[in-house]
Amino acid sequence: MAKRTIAQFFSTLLYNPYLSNLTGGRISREWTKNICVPGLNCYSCPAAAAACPLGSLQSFFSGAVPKFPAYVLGTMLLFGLLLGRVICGWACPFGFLQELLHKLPGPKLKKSKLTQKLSRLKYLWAVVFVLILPFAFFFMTGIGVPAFCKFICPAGTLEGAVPLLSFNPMLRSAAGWLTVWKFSLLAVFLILMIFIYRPFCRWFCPLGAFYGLLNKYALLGITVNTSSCIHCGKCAAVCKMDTKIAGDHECISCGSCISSCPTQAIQFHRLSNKNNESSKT
Amino acid sequence: MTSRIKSYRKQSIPHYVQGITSFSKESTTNIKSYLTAPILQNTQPLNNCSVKDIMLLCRKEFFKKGEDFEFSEVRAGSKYANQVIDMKKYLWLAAAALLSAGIYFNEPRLVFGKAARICLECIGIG
Repeated sequence: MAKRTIAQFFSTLLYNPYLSNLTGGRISREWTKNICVPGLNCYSCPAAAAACPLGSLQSFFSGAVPKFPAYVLGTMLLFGLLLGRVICGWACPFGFLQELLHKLPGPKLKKSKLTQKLSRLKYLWAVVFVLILPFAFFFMTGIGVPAFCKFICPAGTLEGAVPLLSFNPMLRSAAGWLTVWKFSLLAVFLILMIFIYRPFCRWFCPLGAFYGLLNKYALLGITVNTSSCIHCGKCAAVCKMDTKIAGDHECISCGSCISSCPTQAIQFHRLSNKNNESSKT
Repeated sequence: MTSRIKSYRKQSIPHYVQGITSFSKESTTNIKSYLTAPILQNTQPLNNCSVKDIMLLCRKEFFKKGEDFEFSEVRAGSKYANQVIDMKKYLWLAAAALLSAGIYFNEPRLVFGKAARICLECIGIG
């Protein structure tokens, strides 16, 4: 089994250690929920040990009094500067699920110029659903709403709604049109995951968009030695994400391009061995 | 092309010379000789291209011939490299400042308050 799969498996377990809660219809209230995990993992999942950074960020913007989310932003910035999108590739439970489903047999949609253009949409979703809509609801109704969690996030539906609605009759009785919408969206995403590699990460995830912006400043990740790169494009051809060159803002540092580089210009750099002539383009 | 080369000449000629000497012993003190480097003799005429393009072409030619090469237009200490390093410093400072401020204002408790209760919006009920 690949190192990355093992890392993804253990990070999923680390984010969700309280597996026995899954059938209890309740969520944990451990002190670790003061802390945000780096990846996308719903805090309403009964097994979750810590908070989702995206949900926490929106919770500051929503409610009766929106506040500036210094702690959550600081945590996200810290994770982004340490790991960049290594988090997406190695430590995101929802990314792991998408990769597992993509291994199922079936026709696979390859990346193209269209998918590369679609990958820019995640920045739009991030701005609209995480920043603008919570405030728009606040100004219209007096109460802000975590719009991305409420209307889109399939991770919340899968990790939170499925176990809670299955084992908690009270919650089930409160289900309505929004539940139907979220379950339909989840079904669409689950089907897409079989045919398309990481569709949610590539085109929808605001967290991936944020970490992507920090990818070139991150301490860990894929770098290209510009001194020996011949721009042959083999790294981008091998990569299933919407990268244009290894190590760019779409790169999740899975490392599949390293062996494909004919000049060995691609490296997985760790902390201090990054020099100035290597660039995270 | 001349004007572009002139602008590069001011900025990074020493590094080019270093790059050139690493592959050509009939070396060179200016960009003209770089253009006439043996490795580029059989390539297309280099009209209207930047120094970056020439570098790339050289790398490709070396790769074709199976020779070792390593040179770049990005120098250690160059403006670009310094910008990245500066930005990195500011981002680390911002992260530290935001985290400290968040902890000072007891924001982890707010995160806990949200995370320890079932988020009805997240599960499609709220």
